[in-house]
Amino acid sequence: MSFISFDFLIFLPLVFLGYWFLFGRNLKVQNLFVVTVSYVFYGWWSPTFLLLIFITSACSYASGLLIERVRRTATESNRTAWWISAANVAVNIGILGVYKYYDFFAASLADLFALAGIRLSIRSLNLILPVGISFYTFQALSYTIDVYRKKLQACKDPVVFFAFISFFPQLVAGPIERATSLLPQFRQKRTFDYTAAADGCRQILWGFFKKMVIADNCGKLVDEIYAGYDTMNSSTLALGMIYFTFQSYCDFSGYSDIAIGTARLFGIRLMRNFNFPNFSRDIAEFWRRWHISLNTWWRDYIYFPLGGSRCSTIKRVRNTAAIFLISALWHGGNWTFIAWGVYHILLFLPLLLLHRNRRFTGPVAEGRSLPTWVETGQMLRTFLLVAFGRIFFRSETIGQAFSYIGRMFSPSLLEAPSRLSLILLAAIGLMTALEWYNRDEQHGLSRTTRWPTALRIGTYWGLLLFIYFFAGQTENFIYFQF
Amino acid sequence: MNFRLFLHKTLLILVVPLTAFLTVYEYAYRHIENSYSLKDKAMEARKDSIEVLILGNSHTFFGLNPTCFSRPAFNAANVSQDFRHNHFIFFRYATRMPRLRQVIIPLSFSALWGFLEREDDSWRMRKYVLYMGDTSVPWTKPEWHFEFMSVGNRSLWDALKGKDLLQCTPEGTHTGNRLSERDADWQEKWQGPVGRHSHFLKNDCRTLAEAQSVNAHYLEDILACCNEKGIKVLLLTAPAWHTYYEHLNAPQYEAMQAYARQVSRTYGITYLNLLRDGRFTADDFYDVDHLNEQGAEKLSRIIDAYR
Repeated sequence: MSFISFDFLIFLPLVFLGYWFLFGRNLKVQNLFVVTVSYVFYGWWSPTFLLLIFITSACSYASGLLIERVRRTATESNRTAWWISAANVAVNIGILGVYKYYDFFAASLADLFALAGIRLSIRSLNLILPVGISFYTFQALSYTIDVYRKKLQACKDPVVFFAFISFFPQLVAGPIERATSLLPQFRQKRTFDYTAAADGCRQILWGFFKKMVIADNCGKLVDEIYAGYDTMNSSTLALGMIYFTFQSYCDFSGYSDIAIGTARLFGIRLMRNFNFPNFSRDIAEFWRRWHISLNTWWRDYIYFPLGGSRCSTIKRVRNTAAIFLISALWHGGNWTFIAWGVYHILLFLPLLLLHRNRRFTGPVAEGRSLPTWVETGQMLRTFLLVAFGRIFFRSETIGQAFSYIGRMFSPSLLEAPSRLSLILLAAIGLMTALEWYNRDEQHGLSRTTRWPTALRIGTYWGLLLFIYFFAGQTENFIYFQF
Repeated sequence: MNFRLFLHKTLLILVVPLTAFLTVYEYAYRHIENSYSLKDKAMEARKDSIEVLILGNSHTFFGLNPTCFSRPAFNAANVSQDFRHNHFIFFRYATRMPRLRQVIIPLSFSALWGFLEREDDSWRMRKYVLYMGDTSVPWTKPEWHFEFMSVGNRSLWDALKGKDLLQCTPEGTHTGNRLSERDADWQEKWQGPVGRHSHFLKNDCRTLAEAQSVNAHYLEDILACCNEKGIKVLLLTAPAWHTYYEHLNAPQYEAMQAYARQVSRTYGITYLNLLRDGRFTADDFYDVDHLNEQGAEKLSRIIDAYR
């Protein structure tokens, strides 16, 4: 079930009332209710997907328990625990690999052999990628690895564990939660918190505005521009590049806002996934602000075990490059994603080698309402670098990406672009202004609580009507495909 | 206490005003005239005089002008109208037209395999429900029952200006597609329509066979009823520009022709294929598969001869 659907509009209030009214007194029953409605939510796409999430959950749950049991009983406990953990990782990565990467690697292998004149016939599977598989698989992996590393005790209650994996707000597109943060919340009795729920509603509204007004309207224009890029002038292609940057940000962060806000209605606190990345002053800061739950996952489970930054320069470069390449592949099996990853390695490495990658860790323009000219220039430069890289991300082939870039730099860059939508630009301007105003907060409407009641409610209603009349027509979120 | 306060505030600030807004919106929207409500009223009012009824999709909606017929005619075609809705209109209105002598039904390239509910403009489904009384649409699709469900549809503003899909006169004549409004490169824009209409490239054999069976059932229901009442039927494939028909999928075109031959033989009806008719020049087209006003007049006079 998509957040952007009439079904969800009915589903959410019913689940909310059932959760607090009917099952609020008994924690076990309440958790069982969470699992049930989450499976309904996920099964809405296709009931067959439920089998996969069940296998992932069951394997991870069982391996957690087994790891603890062998630690108590076996003589060579650590080695056995390692094997159990590795087997669970293999099963989960195996499922992900078959669904997500088999066709890509098969085709790439065939191409490689073809270069040597050998014709390799490998059948492609053409499987439909289950929605959100990368998100819940990584969440499940983090649990077993944490149990193996003794950072977490194995969860004995299967209902709590299944609720942790399948909790519907963040099931299909994150944030990718850590067991250390989310599991304890399902173990404790939740009490309704008015302030959190009200702020959750504001965050949901903000998420819907970004997704339905900006992302979906940008998406329509981006599709048109990419479909006919060989007939359009350079300024339109540059505009397409900018539109896609806003589309991907508003689509994904919009989803995260809706997910986090919805979870807060249920007394659950999810981790922050975006920290206004459009206000980043360099690429390193951008990556600390973008898709935080995945990037910290890489850091904790890949980067640190590889040695992190406390090692030789060569190893630091290797570790950083590995993270960017894995992150690129996480988005799917396509050379365009790998090119996008390599592009970001090239942008990031100079900062790393010059020890400037942690130059901007604090808030931008702290204590001031406007940025300095230097900060504005830094933010604009970072935005354009990110936008340029997204051409690879959006293109269907590497050839198309280079062709797009080639056509983008011509004298017609100075001509007026077609596909200029004033309403959309106004919406982007409004979003940027509100996010700037709230840049030290959790989301773009956080500080409206300080406004007079009439202005505050007027703003919410203004946004609601803006969504109603100017929403685009797409339902799916870009990141569902990952 | 906290929970109750939250519920009360949500009701007061969101649910009650939103419900009131959507109710007023729905009421106001439904009272603005559109092509469907206009045709409903016109067919009811003129049911005793109509002798020629035109059914079908945009090819006949744009391509036939009932005022050019020598007998009282009415154009009941609508954009993307499929056989299911032709069937609905025929049995709702035509069976109560005592003077009806002829029904014109287009057999377009895609008609046997297309369904409005699966098209991009499936939102038109609710127009039949709300303005023509189609009760067969399931409630599991609320967006086909309420205008307010059309989120992001800015047509309210157009509707308030009286422009909501009001694209025809009381005779059903389409009021658009002027030659002067045609795109300069209209001849080159064949990929969109050809792509949309090429069901053989998008579906497997089983899906195609099922779709054809359903659509043929709707059409043949109409034909059987016309035979019983002595109403003549003209099955028509409307003219198109060469860039359109040259790119059509050959197996799909052949299947459509085979069906036309079979159905015309079975029911003794006339099938007129004007797809490549040389009488229609560039000046008669609005785009590659639709006629303009001038082309519509020309086609109407040709069809009028087939009494």
